[in-house]
Amino acid sequence: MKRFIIDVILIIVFFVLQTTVFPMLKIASIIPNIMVVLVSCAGFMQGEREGLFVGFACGFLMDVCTFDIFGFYTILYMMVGYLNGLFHNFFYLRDLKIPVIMITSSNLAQSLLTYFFLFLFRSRFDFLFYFVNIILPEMVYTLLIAIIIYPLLWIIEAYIFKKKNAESS
Amino acid sequence: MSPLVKKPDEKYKLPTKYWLMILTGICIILMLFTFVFDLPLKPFNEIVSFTVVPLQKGISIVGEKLYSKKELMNQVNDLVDKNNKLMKQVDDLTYENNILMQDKYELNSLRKLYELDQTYSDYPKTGARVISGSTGNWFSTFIIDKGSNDGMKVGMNVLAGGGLVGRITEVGSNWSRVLSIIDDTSNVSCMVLTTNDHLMVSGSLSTMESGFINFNQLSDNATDVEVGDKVVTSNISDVYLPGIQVGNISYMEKDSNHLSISGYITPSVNFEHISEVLVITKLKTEIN
Repeated sequence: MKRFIIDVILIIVFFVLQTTVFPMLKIASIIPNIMVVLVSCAGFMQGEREGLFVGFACGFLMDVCTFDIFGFYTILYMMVGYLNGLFHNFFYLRDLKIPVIMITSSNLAQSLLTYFFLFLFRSRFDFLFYFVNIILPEMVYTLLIAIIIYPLLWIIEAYIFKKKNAESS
Repeated sequence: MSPLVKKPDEKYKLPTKYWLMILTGICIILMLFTFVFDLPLKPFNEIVSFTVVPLQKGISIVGEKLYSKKELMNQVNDLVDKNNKLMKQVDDLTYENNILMQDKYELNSLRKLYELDQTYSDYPKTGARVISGSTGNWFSTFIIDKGSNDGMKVGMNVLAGGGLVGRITEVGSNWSRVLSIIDDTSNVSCMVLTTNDHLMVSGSLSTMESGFINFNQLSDNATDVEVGDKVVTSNISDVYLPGIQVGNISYMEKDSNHLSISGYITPSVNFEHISEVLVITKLKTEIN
């Protein structure tokens, strides 16, 4: 129950930040994707089940507020949460390398799929342009934000839920 | 332990992979429904109206105040200098304005004479505040703080600073989603103000950063069109009211098929800093 409440609060807070604060903090007109940080962290911190549901909720909110094809982001984020959850067993709280790799690759995969389904299908073939101007900057910016956000999620995980492997490093 | 053996007191949970399949199936059905049948998703919209929108409203108001405070501090010195210059300009302009007012009266009487008084300043409008930007880097949509409770409907035109911003594509009870004309999926049927030649203005992610949107399908016969000409929404558009300013042509080029001309338009709205917009509360379908 505690977990459910905290997850709901985190999802809403992250979504509100994503849509209100980060558009004001644009660097070179690029917004970092902090939702993918949350979903990815929920996946490998709590397992595939929680990752799946957190991803579902995040994608759902994104879908209502962005694109006309309802359900696209929901599937995307759900998959991110689930697949990250499969790496739950490799997870140690104090280690920053694996989470950062997971978040970055999640973001990359998600951007590539977005390009593939929503842009390539509308005959926007200039992949290199989109890669250099949108996918790559978003990945770098998200990575920087993730390094700041991850310890916060780490603190919640370690001290509120008293994780057993909090001290194993 | 084998997954088949479970403790009797443990509550049964559906395995995650089945959840994944079920939810993916639901999403695919929803995608098909919205894509093929274009069904409105009222109940889902309502979830957002009472969870996220109030928070977004609060934060955007606070953010705007902080931003304007910061701007204020930076600009006080500039403003004093500017004020002196402007005071001089005011004198000149007052004189000019008097002359123009006389022209305006004349224009109004002439318009009445020709029954041409329906410019877009006559459409009923209502103001709204932008409470949320786009959620990612791929699409240019934003959320405004008025919804079906305030009479918003899908398809209403949105203006800011005298130019077209976009149209409403989704309505909740206290919010609406606006698809801006610079979005990659947006197409607006327009015409050149001076010659009435029709063209299609489509937003594009690839030219958005340099501040342009694309146009195409301008007929090759339109030889009088020049760079700098004003582009307004056309009277044959389904959703956009006629005569709303979109921007100016800044570059044009003959297509390789030698039948049409395409190029770039500089939009008359600065899409980087939209905080308040005007919504025309009349639909195109109601006017005809």
